[in-house]
Amino acid sequence: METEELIIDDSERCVFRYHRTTMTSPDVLELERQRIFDRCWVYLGHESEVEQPGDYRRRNVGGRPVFFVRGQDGGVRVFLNTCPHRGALVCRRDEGNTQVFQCFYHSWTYNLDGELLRRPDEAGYSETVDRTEMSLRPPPRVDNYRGFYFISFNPDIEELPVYLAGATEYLDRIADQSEVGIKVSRGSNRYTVRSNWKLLVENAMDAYHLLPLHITYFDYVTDLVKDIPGGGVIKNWRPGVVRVLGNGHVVQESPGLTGRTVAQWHPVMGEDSKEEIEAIRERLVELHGEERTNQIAGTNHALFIFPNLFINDFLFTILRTFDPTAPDRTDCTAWSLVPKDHSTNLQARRLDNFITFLGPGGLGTPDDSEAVESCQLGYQAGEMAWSDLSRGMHREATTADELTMRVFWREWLGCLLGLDGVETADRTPGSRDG
Amino acid sequence: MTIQSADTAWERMLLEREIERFLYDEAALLDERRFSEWGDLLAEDIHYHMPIRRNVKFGEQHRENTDTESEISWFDEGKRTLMGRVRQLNTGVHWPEEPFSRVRHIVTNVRVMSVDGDEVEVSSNFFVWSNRLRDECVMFIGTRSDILRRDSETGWKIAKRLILLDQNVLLAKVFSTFF
Repeated sequence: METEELIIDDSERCVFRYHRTTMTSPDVLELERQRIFDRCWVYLGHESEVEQPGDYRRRNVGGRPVFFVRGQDGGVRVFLNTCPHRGALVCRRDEGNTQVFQCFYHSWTYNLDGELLRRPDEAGYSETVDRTEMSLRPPPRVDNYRGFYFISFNPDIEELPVYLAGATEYLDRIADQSEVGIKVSRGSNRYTVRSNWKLLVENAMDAYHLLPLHITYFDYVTDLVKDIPGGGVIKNWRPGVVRVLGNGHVVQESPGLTGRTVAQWHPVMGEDSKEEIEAIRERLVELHGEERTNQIAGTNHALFIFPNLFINDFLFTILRTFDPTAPDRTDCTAWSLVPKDHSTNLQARRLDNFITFLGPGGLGTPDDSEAVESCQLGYQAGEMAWSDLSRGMHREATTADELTMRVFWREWLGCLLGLDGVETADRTPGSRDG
Repeated sequence: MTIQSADTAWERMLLEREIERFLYDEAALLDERRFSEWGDLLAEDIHYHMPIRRNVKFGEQHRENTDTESEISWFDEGKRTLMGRVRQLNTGVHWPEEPFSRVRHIVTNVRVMSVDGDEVEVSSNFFVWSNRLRDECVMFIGTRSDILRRDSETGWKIAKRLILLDQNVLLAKVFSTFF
């Protein structure tokens, strides 16, 4: 099967389907590694995770072991986590603070800039070899937008803000939640799901499944707020707006029905937080004006940055990445973002919301994990070869349609075919003839 | 070990035996999926906490577990949210437990660490086996530190439970039971 045949995108009939081998084939995963994860900007981490000089964090990004560290000069540096000498992992812990990185195999020692400081029996090496050849190697490209760090293994990729395109506006809204900045809470949720990574991407941008699949979560919330004035708002849930942001990025915007810790108080959040939240809102209005404050504080955003980063900015704000390790296996990681100047009470409230819905112990995510694993099993019935994402193609699509997933898949195909600037939005009925 | 009020070896043994029996009965309620009855054993003010375990350097054991205030945990719960989970499990449409798992709690190494009035601090280890569908198998191994409070109705209530699961990255896709 040729790559371009993997997707049917027919705006005449309003049909969008993809072939299920995209979810099961090791060859497709290999192609994705080469043409997506090796060529795009991929999320690494947030600057707040390494606040002090010497703070470091270890990750796997785009299939590579890497780590990032705050240097003595305050700059953040990223290195491939492998000793230039013989290959051992130089950074062997997930996080910490250090003066130097020492490879435990032969004790080669590097400073925070990645330069080789010393190695045992220096006289054993000829002076004709430049020591800088033995520095820790950064990925080809490293950049950050408002503190969100991305790396790319493609030296020729466009500048990060150009790549992020319309997504910058939504990263701005999140970064502007506090004038002193936002930070990632310590600790992350890490777990493995036995499904293709794209099933998790689809699941995270699919509002059509919320009510059918998560009925028990909505029952739980409804019960929680039943005695609180205004608690009935859950019933008022309506689909929101989808905005196609370019380069495969997409956002869903909807009103914050049960309030937002930044900064829209609602009775379900408790009287004890009212004063603080209203003060935050007043300050935001001073800084940004009423209209922009409504954008920052009044709406929920579910932002997707191609290929594998989600930022759900709801009552809580979370970052999630989905990292493929096999066609049917994905590593999931989730972090919580909080404004640095939130009180302990509001921080705890955000964390409570985070772990109540999300993650393997939450009331929501386990249903999702079961559903995507179930799809992966269903794909074994190979005669039923196509999955359908046509919902809403014949109309102005809302968050309850499948436009978000079509955006992802159009960009995905563009990457695999090596095309630039693929149109990812639906062609509207009026433009179909053209 | 400080046993303050159980001042004879005999009383201490009886107390330990009583606590063991309570923990075994509790485990049976979970294995038999009698979650609502399990909920009756929880004190109204229970704090049920399962931190995430970090990989730390030797000598930095104090940094190993995430805290409840500013860091992310697997569970950081009071009775209200725990009972929300119980209701979810009881609906029959909580999909990761539908069809439900075969779960067995093995509780071992039960030690009464101290006694303070009506409250007893108890340490125990657990091995939880879960098997579901054809070949979904999960093992959870770890240790618990409980505060149990004497109760006229149920014998004891769990007032506090700290659960240390011996995993960093969760090796299961979901938590399908309580600990």
